[in-house]
Amino acid sequence: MRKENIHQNYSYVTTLANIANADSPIAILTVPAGRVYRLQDGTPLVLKLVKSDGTEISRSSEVYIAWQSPVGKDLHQAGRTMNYGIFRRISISDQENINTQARRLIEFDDEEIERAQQGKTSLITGLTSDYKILLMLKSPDVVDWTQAGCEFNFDAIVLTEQEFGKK
Amino acid sequence: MDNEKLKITRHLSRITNKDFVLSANQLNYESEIATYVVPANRMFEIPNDFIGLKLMTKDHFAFTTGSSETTHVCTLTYPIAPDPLIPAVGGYVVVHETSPAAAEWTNFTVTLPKTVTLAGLTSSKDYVFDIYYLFGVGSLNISVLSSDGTAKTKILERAIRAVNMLNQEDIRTGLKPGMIGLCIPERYKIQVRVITPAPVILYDSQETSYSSPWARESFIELPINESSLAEWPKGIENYAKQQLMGL
Repeated sequence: MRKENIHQNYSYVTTLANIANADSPIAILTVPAGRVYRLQDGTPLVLKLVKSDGTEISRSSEVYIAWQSPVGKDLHQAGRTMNYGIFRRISISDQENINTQARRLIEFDDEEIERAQQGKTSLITGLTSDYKILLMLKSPDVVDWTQAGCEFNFDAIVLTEQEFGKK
Repeated sequence: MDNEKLKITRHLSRITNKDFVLSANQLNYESEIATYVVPANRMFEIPNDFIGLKLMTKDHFAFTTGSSETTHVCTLTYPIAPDPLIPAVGGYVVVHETSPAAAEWTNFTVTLPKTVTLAGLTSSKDYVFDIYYLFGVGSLNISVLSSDGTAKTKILERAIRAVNMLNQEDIRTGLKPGMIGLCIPERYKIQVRVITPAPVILYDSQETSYSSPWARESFIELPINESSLAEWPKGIENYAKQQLMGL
């Protein structure tokens, strides 16, 4: 078991443009074979999203983490929706600072906690191969990942399936 | 409320400027600047989580530069309350040129407590500027009111200066409600109220006397836990009202 930093250039992450004004993924982590990914409650999210004209997306945009099973289209929102304003108003270096993360923490809601407590699949207990972890955005603007200013990262706990099976 | 075991599934969310109905404050009197009415069949609770809250005001300046003048000193009405996390230029002070052009003006310096020196002006020219800034006078509170308005309590009360100058992103110092776990059922109101001589301008895409797209560092972000009212026992509205009246 180890902690890995998930970011836009991470091996198993695909970035994509969102659909304006609709909840849509901008980054998808597809769990590779033999691995299990889980998130800790209160993991800080670092985020800068830029449009094709080089300016940041609207501060009224909304961001959250969700996950999806390998088969089926149901999305499970895992954490509190965050307003993009907080990511826009402070720099990446301030976002990396442990002392400026209060309103950027990924907090699990009751449904996700219940899933974990009932032994069902959840981001808390861990998602196995082919599950998807999605960074979701609802914004009037469209993200352009070719812009140098675009960035996201958060930490995840990574286990091997053998480690996961022992739990 | 009976001491029965409740099974409530809470969804975590945040209500922000765009969810509230914004309004102008009555200068020097306690008045609301933002009101949110809890939707039908929902129950809100205020969690022990971080609130985002900053308030800006606006000063208006119209002047003609002198024959050899390329700078102009603007003395603001109220002292600036600088946010330690953001820069002065374009951060806690935003200058909007409304005439002759309509654009953001970034060529200026800020001298605390309340001086903004505009530079790069053309001599002998008429200018009109609006200056938006985090200000430091008066107090604010977040109040919860029953649907009939007969019961009310405050979940936060602070000086505007303290809130505006606070590093709200620091988990050690961030802004948290003074009261948590309050039951706020359908039709109850959550209001941000102020007592200040300054007109408060909140961020919104619509330009009004109380909102502006230029007041981008003026926002409300209130964390709430939302659940279905059907999951709560009967009579919870009465309990909620008693809570408001008793606290």
